[in-house]
Amino acid sequence: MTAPLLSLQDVSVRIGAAAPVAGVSLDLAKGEVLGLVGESGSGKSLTMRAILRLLPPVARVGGRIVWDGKDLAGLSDADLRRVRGREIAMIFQEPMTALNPVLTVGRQIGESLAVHLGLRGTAARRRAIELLDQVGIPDAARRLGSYPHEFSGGMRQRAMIAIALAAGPRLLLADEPTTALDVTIQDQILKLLLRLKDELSMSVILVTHDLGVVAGTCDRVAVLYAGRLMEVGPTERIFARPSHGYTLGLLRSLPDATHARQRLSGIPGAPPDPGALPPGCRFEPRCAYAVAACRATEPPLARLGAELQTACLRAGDLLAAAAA
Amino acid sequence: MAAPVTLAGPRPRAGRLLLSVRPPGTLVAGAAILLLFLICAIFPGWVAPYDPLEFDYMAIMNPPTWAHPFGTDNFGRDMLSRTIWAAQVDLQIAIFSTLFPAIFGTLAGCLFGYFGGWPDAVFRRLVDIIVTIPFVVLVIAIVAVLGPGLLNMYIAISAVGWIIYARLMRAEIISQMRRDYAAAGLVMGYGRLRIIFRHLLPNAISPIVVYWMTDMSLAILLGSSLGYLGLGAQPPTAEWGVLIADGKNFMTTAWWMSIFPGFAIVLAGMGFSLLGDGMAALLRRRA
Repeated sequence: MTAPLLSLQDVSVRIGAAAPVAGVSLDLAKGEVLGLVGESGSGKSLTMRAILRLLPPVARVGGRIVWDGKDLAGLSDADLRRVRGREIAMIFQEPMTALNPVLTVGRQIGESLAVHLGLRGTAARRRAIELLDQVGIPDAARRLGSYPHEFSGGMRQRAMIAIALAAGPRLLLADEPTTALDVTIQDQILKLLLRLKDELSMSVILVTHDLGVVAGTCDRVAVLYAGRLMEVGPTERIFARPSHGYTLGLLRSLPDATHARQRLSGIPGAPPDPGALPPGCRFEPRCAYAVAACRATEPPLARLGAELQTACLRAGDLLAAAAA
Repeated sequence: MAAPVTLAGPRPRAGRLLLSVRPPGTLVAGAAILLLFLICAIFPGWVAPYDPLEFDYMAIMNPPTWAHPFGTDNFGRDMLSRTIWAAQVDLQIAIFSTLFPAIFGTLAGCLFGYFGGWPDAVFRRLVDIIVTIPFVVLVIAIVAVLGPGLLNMYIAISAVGWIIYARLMRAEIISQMRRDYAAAGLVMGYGRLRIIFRHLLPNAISPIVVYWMTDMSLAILLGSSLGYLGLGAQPPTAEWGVLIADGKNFMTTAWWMSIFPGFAIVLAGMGFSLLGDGMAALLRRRA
């Protein structure tokens, strides 16, 4: 296996006594789309922000984040700025607030082109029009002069993507990019992201709480619960045969098209407070498959076969039951 | 089936951001008043009917007449001409005593707000101290130390005035830097100064602009007060506060000597306030 493009090694985020992200280890290959799923507060966004060192000083980041062979935590401010935007870009959930309201879209694209690529004047303008074309904004030349408030929600997210991609990054962190959009637009934006990923040979980490989005777009999925990885593996495999009680619970709480009327099971209870975690597996109190051993120690994220990693003591039983 | 309806046609490009909405009436009124004073200040010789310094011993302390609509003073000088010439000095006060505070205070507020830390803590204590002392008293105390005169008055007002702008800007920057677009700027690999001055500042500037307008009217009032007390502009200069002070000894016999410069102060103050209100309304509508 070639060296991963991005590698998180035992990454944790501590805020005071609590650790909302605890020991996350993940590898991302070139050209791969990784889905990072979890409930609100499971630490998805914190992990993304930790990668780009965007967290305020009160949040202490532990572990190693290795980007293309470099430890991001050890970079100087100047080197970090070269990675941000130029090599790793990020798009946000709310395109309304993530765009600067007083600058035209053209200016905002042009700024990235000027800072990272040294493009100015007509060359920058031509490139900006190309970018807007590429993200599917019609009449791009005229739209350069528009302000974000003149765009619809979907158009804003397209503009946001154009700005993020202006410098040609190799990794795009997409933090719930479709959550604020309605369903038809969601689909368009996801298709756009996949197309751009291929055209620009980028990798993408897609953060979401929507399993439907993951199923349609991601090569691999990482399931996060209360700051810890529960299961990591290929999307099809995990959706067909989850090896973790939490993933199974999540999938059971989704409606599916094969049954006309069906009672959704859901997962009882609520995620634990990161300051007061239960002993043993942190999902154990809500887990339908918990046994006494689950309360004793926290199971590590262990390899199960070539591509699957799981942090469930009963993985074997769950897989056997699914196969039966 | 109904024909498709187009909601928005092409829009005019130039000045679209500011003028796509009809300007509020207060803005127009304030601008009109200030334009009047501006003309008086720039072309006093052309607007004023007489030389403001020319004595006319045939017309001493005349009440308002068609020849002298604002009357004449105790040397027979035309009060209308003196009031018009004084606009030059008073607008100069409005601008010079707010220019440095507005610019320096805005920059300082940006940096204190964005970077925080101990300089910000020191600044907050400084604000706490300054706001406990009435502004006018503080300025008078500084002028008393430096000595009277316009330049010293500017120095005194500037030394204290920037703190109010900085406080306003600091709060505004702190609220702006929590928005996603500030984080987006960091993500894009932009430097901190670029983010502060290109991204946050333009979003945070409107309260400053509005306050600046109000502050100019306050500066005229303050400048006139100091002129009246003999701490600001000095007597041969026609300045509204000085004119009022000149007339105060003749208040019972020649009311026009103080009343008309007083009206000029009120009108100019109103002009700046209306302009500030109008701008606030315009910016609110746009936001």
